[in-house]
Amino acid sequence: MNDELNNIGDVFKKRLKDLKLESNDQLWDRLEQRLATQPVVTPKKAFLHSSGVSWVTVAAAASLITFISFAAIYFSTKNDVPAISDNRQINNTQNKAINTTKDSTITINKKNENNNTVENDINGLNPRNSNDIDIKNNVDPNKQYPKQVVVTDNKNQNPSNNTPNTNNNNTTYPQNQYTNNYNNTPFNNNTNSVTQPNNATNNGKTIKPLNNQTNPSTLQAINAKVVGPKDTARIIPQNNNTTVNNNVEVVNKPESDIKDVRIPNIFTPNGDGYNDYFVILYLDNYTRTELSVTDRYGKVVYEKKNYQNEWDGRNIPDGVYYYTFVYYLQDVKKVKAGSVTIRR
Amino acid sequence: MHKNISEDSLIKGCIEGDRYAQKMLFEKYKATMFAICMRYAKNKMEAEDVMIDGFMMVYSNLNSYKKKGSFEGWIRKIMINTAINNYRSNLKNYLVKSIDDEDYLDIRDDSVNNHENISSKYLLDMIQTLPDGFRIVFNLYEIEGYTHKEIASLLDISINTAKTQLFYAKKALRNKLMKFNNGELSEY
Repeated sequence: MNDELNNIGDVFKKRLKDLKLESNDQLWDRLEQRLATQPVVTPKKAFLHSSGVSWVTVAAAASLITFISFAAIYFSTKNDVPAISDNRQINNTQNKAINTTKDSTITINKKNENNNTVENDINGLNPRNSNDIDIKNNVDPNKQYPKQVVVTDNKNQNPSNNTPNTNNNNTTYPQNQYTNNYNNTPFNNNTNSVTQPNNATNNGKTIKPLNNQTNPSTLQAINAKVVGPKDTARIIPQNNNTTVNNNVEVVNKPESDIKDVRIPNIFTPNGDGYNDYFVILYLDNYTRTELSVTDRYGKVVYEKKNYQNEWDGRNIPDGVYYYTFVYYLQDVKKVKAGSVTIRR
Repeated sequence: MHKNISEDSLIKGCIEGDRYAQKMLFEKYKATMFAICMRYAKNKMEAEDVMIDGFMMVYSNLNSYKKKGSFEGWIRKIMINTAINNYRSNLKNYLVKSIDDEDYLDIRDDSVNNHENISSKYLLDMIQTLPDGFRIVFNLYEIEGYTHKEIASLLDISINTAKTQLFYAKKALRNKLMKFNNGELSEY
């Protein structure tokens, strides 16, 4: 008897592990009903589990892929001018022209100190901090950038035009016209490329001449209007070997146009394709966000900086949770807190 | 009942969606699986729900059964996972006390004369009356042989919680067993 009490786990295991129990006779009927209404979907076999593929093949394939990608990186970096990849570098090059020869995007994250329009190149933006401008060399080919800018080498076309024309520096033009020029126009290398003369017209609209064009023999480029914050233009050099000055014009969206986030109070992560994620509306308007979610007892169940609408309530049961959402609108911290229900 | 049909052809039939094969598979494993479901569930009704969900999982995932280890072990694992999922998704409902405690009487009053079997049912009953977290941890650790680390990640609790719950579960069971042996629980 004492043995039984000391090894209580074994007692239960011995008796219960292979226990058989009579179940309700109607159980099969219920199961059959389920089978009839909800046809069994047999998922396709996973790639690695399919019969013929041995691990050796997989390993070989993996190493081949690795080799190719390294080779690609090697060759791509070899011919390129060092690309601008992060904010720090922008700060370092404040007094120089920023060079890029690759596809890149420019994002103005923050309102400039001048209230409305900044007509200058990136250097002239004089960012207050590194969050003002992002230049990324990774252009997502699948993404539609609202504004696209072509950089062309106009040295061979019309060198004399490269001389800055100071008379035109103060030219102003209707903002909306300029915007329309680039908005909603399907991009095409041939038709929409903007060669940079100092004072050119494009579809009848005057294009602001570039300031700070100190070296006429190097390349020109970019006319971009980036409506910030978080508006992105894509810079596309036409010629891979050209070095360009990226001149970006920034027009700030009025603050009132930036919609405040809207946070739902329920979502249903059951995999049916509807409301499977905790989606915060108008999240795109903000670059710095932090989300943290706790359960009813204050235990943190989810935490994410730079939240991208990806929380699916994984591994936690249905119920009510409490979120704190911190976001920054032009450096002003804002906090929203509330409850969200998960129901599957 | 259907002993002449091989496991392979049964699996093949189920993958093709043959209802007869599906039924035979169910008949073959239902007794063992129901006992497992009873261990993890709070009452008979819940055990039946878990079992149906579990068999649906079995049917829809038969393709990925790689014939490593026994087929029964595979089904058993699916059942356990389904039961854990059910436990987790019903966690808040568990706070409500069930009113149909009569369910337990059904099991005990089964007209089985085998002494061995009766006492197994009694043990099962003791497990079912444990608090929910204790029951799951005890089942996983002692009967299924999971490690504390595995249990912690399955149930999303800390390793120490798992250990504590196991300790209390064993303590409670030991008390019950002692009382039973002393004849204090005459109603059993």
